[in-house]
Amino acid sequence: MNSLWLSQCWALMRSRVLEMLRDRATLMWNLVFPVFLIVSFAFAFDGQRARFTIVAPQQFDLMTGGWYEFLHNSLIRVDWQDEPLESLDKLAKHQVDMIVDPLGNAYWINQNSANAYLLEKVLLQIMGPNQGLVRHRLEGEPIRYVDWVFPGIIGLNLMFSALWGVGYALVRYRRNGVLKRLQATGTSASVFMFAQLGARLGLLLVMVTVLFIGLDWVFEFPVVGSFGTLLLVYLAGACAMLALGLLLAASTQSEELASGLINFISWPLVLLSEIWFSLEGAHPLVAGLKQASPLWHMIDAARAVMYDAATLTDVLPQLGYVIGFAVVVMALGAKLFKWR
Amino acid sequence: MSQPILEAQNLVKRFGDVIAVAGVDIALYSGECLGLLGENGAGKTTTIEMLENLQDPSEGEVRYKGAPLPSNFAERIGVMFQATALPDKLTVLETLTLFRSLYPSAASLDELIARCDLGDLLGQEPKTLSGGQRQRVLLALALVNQPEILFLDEPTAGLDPSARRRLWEIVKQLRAEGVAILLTTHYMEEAELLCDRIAIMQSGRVVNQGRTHELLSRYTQERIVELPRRVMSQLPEGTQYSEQGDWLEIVVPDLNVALGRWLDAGIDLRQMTIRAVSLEDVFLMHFSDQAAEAGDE
Repeated sequence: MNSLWLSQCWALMRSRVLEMLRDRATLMWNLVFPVFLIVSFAFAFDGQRARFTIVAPQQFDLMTGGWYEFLHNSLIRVDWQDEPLESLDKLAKHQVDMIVDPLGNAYWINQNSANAYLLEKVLLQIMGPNQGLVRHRLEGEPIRYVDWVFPGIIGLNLMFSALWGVGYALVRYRRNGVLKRLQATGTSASVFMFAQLGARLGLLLVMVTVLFIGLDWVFEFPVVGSFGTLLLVYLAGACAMLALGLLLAASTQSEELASGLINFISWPLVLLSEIWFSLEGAHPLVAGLKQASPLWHMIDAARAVMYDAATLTDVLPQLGYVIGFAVVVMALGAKLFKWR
Repeated sequence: MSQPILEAQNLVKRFGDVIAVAGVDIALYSGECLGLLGENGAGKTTTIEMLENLQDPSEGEVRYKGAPLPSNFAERIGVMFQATALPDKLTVLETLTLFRSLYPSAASLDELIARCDLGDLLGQEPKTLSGGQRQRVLLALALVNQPEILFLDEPTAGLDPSARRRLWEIVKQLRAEGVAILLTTHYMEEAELLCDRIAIMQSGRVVNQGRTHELLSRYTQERIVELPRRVMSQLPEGTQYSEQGDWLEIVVPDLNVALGRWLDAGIDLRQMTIRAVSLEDVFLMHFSDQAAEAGDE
């Protein structure tokens, strides 16, 4: 890497950043759109869930008696699980209200949950005194829908900004001859691409940070993990999305085709990446496809870091997948890149 | 003649079954302006792009100072394409600064600004520039690396006469400074004024090539006579003419002989105009000859 390479790269990066900053409408949209989504979801899903949710073991499905009466109630939704205690995290986050183990005559509640308090009253009423019920209590603040959806919205914003900001912009420059003019200067494709990705990456990270700080100030997300790890997760995710944008634009000639390709790629990613809702219990094929989405790995890792205090080691598998995806796709994009 | 700074030897370019350039030999010398003329689709732009090293020839070779093109050839040439956009959101000054940074050595900003008269445009974005101003910026970009060879692909297309003249002055100055210039244009007046030599391309080949004044001197005796269309039926049998609206254009090898015959035939010559053969006439005569030959075949 010589000084000319660096000077070319810096000049191209600086110019691209200036262009992006001056494209006020797009810039504002990238900032305003996620805020709009978060605020909308915060209002739309502000209320408590109407039903009580209890996790119970599968084998208890046919059992009768007091437990049967307690669980077969129209106000209660039972989530039958092979391993109910795997849902202790959800209980801590108020995503379920109670876990029961009828065979062990035991139940788990979150002592900070009003729903759990009411359910316990009903359970004790139905079972009657002296039943030897074993009560386990844990603590934890509730996770609101807005908390859950927030990492996904950030991921969504990263994806669209990267795909349109790099992919579409490159195709436009190819169409109007700017790329051809740059080629005539002898600038190498690697310098040009590195500068494009670097400029967009820098801007994306600044935008994510601004959004994060701003929205966290308003909604007070219960973040318990490391911000450094979270930044690494989003950095890797942004690289993967930028690489995807580069691949889509590598040799695409028309803006119409570029828009079609971006939509063709982005919407399945949106649906498969648990941005709006969990795919738990979905068809195994969907679950399999989800695993292939770098966006899902990024969002899943971000949620784990934010709300489960996952460490860098914990999210290493997701990070590895996302970085691997970025490297492979970027290499492919670089190989297919055409100035014209 | 000294060694050419740039030389094309039997350049061929195929796109699938289509042959865009079918064996072009061209030499360009320092301090001269070579005009590459031809109708649309003649293969001029493809030829230029091979000379610029932006496209690989299917056959043949481009040589720089007698040797294969060096790896840093791009640093020695300046390029002004036929239709190029400028980066949308950058000012003229920022665009110049960007392009200067892409080369290991560059002309001073002040020199570029003065030469291309960009002083009042530095803070403007491309969308606010007129056609002439935009072309001057594009020319400045082609000059940021102080090129030895300058490629100008229809630099004045669509410009008003005064903007064209301003660009011509810059090109003349560059030529005087020793820059080798390859120019394509559809304006014959421009080619006649700026080019030391002319190469005419047709169907991917150079079909006529020579010094501009030599091409014109082949026609020193000839004159172009324009007569009103109404005298057409009175013209002596065998007179060759081309119709230009209400006028007939006749190339006459000997004006005295022609005038004598027409007076004998009782043709009213009061509205007649006479002029010398221009490069445009040479160009048109060449293509009408080719068309006639093709028709005969």
